[in-house]
Amino acid sequence: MAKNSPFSSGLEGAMARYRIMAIWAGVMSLLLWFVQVPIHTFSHNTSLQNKLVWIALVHGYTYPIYVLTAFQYCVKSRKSFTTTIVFILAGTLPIASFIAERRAVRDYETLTSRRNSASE
Amino acid sequence: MKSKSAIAYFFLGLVAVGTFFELGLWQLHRAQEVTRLAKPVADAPAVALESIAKAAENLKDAAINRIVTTSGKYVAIYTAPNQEISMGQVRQTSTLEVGLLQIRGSKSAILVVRGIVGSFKGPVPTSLGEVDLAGRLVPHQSSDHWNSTVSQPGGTELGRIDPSLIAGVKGLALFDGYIIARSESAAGSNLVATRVPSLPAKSGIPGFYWQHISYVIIWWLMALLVVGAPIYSRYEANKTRS
Repeated sequence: MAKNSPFSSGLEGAMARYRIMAIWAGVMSLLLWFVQVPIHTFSHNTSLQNKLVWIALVHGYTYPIYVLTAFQYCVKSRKSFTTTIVFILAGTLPIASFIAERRAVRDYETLTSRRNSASE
Repeated sequence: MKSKSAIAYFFLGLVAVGTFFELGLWQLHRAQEVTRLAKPVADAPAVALESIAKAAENLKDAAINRIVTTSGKYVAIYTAPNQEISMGQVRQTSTLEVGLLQIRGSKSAILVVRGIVGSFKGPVPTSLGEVDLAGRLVPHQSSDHWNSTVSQPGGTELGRIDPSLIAGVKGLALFDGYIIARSESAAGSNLVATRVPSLPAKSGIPGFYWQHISYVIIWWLMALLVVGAPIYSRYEANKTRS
């Protein structure tokens, strides 16, 4: 049981950090894929294109933070190598990081309920 | 058995680190390329080619897009098919005439885009003798526009305008990049031709400098993660055990 205990290794904090960054990366991915990329590809309005450059920049510079939080969360919750890769890549696709965030919460709740039933 | 899989993981990790590092370097070069061609360059005054560039050396950033003057004689003529050019508002593809100009009094040469094939009147360029020219110095092309025949015996088509395709020709040291001629004169008279508009070269790489730098950070972070992952995992496991 100690192997999966969320409270022995600071999993709670790691998950909170991961959740914040997953939601942030998800929002930025949505903006990137459904606002910036279509306008950059299909619109010839360079002034509008230049106004939206910040989306790619902000996403590019915050994704490494997402990667670090996802990696820390996966190590602390003893995720497999494949799951870790999937969690890291989830930050690049719209929706995927929201799904990953929900899964992290579900896993955490499962661990918490196991811990509570073990201590009773 | 365990040691075998450890060795396999080690080499896999090594390949991953190398790949991520190379991808970071690639993005770094793209970032540099974006800024290199984004700098505004004054068209005047024109400068002598030899004062800003040297044969057999990479073109310096400060030399790119400058208007240069030089003189010499054409020692070989090539064609560069399927080159996209802008004529006013219209973009079109044309076959360009590219001459190899041996610089006067030296064993070095530079490629010169003279104009559109078939638009020249008068003698063949190699029989012109000394030619004085002015034009814009731009970096060599890096992607093919055509299946080159220049490497075949008697082949004179350049797939891209790049001196590396004709390295070793006539034993001349070649300048990096090429000149898009604005004017040429031989024996005191101007040579008339349909010239190629010599607008400053622009980067074909999409995106912005800081955007590419963010990709550099991501790729190199991935490389660091591959190195740090086993160490951090072991640290966490020890912490939990104790």
